[in-house]
Amino acid sequence: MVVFRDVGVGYEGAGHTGHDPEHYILKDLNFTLSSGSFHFLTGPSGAGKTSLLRLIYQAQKPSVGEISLFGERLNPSDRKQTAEMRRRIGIVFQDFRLLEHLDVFDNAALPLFVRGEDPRRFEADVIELLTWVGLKTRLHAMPDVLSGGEKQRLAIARAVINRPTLILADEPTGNIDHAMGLRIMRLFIELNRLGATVLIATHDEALIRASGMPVLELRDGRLFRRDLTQTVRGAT
Amino acid sequence: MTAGKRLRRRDLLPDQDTREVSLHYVIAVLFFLAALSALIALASNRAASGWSREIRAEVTVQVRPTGLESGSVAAARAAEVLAGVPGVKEAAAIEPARAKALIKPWLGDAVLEDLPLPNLVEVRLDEAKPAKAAALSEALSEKEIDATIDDHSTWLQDIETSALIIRLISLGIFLLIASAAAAVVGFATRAGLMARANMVEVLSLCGATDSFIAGRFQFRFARMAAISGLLGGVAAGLVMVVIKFTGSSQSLLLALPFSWLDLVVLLPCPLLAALIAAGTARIVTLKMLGKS
Ligand SMILES: Nc1ncnc2c1ncn2[C@@H]1O[C@H](COP(=O)(O)OP(=O)(O)OP(=O)(O)O)[C@@H](O)[C@H]1O
Ligand SMILES: [Mg+2]
Repeated sequence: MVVFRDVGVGYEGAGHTGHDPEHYILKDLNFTLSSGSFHFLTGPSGAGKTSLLRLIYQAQKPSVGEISLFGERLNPSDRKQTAEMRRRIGIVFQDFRLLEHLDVFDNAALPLFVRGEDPRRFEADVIELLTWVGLKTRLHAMPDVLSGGEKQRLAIARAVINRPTLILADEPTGNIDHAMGLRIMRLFIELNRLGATVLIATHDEALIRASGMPVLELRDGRLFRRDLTQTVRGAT
Repeated sequence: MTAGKRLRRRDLLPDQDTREVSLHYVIAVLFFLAALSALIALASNRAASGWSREIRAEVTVQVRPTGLESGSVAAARAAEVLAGVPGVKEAAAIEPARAKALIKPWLGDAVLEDLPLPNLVEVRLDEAKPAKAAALSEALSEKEIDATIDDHSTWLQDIETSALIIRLISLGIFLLIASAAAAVVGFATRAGLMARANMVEVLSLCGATDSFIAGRFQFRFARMAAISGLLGGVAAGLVMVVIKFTGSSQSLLLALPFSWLDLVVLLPCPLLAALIAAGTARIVTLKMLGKS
């Protein structure tokens, strides 16, 4: 499903271009997320969790290495391929990235709409999902009046509305209370059961422990699979 | 109604982007000018063809006195001969008094007294089957009249050349204006894309293709341009109507004989504006997205 081979990423910074492996914020990434798997991605703030997710949804090009998705090698200059792949990925952004001029319903339905689907046909689905994340009474509210937690739930609804085969969530429970967090986790686990591959970046150790799913950990730019007894480099 | 109102309208862009009054204004003015230049081209074309039709039907014959008869007698005889030629409607010698009156404004009284005036015959040809200059000249020489025939062909050439130039100029003006409209829309599209970079990125992250995103801008600018084009066309039509109603007293209608039928050329104005805007918006959007 997701395959990283010798991937490294550097950003341009003070005094270096980002091409120098010494300044890579992610390096030697070699791992596979198999189809239907569920992983947490953790690590301290600034470890590169968001950067790793951005590599997968192609908002970021790797400085070195090769990434394959859905059995196809990524080619960042092939914009058609990028669009096609993104249609199969549901992304929850750390900063939500809602469209301010669209109401809750329209924001949630956006991925369906950009695929050219008829709004009348998906209306019931969108409302059902928004009800599930507790936004039923806010269908026509604009994002700027939503609370942080409401925005987050809307971002989650938008990410899963088109039944993606791969779900990437960046701190999806950062702004919501523990009970709602567990509810959201149940949604992800349910979608995983239905076949979706899930990767969730989070700091929330309580959430990780509560769900008991495998954990990938970023430390010093490298990825480790967290083991109950020790951490071993590399993950599958 | 449950679905959000925007998706229902299939219109994703924020409203204010193309509510920009100055943009509407510029496009409307451009299409007003384009429509006006089309109307003027039509009218002046009609004027030119009217003139050339008249000139084609007119021949002037200059008769020279011979040893046997005076100029005015010869002219009168020539008029008689010419009137009998098939394809001639009428022929009349110009009275010396009338000839004088015609020239007077240019030369004044003083010179006129001693000026030997040419003896002219005005010939009106049958418009359907005009007589050839050669036939006229043959008829005159048969009766031993010494004369030169001026069928105004040099004038005709001039008028036809002018009509062609007017046509080319108005085509040039039209193309200039259309390209200016395209440039304005291109500029606005670029500005819109930059102002909405975040929205464009979110759409793209949600799986929108470049073509889908271009489609949103295309639709929006086409609609905006259609409205502006309509306003510009209507304004040009109003100008024409005003000229037609008030211009008869002045010589304006003589130079620009507008016809009600000309208003038909204004009909494609909104469509044309929409096409230009849509095409430009699409090209600009695809180009910018491809670079990102
Ligand atoms: N566009 C960018 N340009 C330059 N540096 C960047 C850029 N994006 C991220 N970085 C740097 O890369 C490093 C990793 O950032 P990233 O956002 O991936 O971390 P993170 O693990 O998601 O952190 P957090 O838990 O705080 O969200 C940070 O040092 C950050 O400053
Ligand atoms: Mg992050």
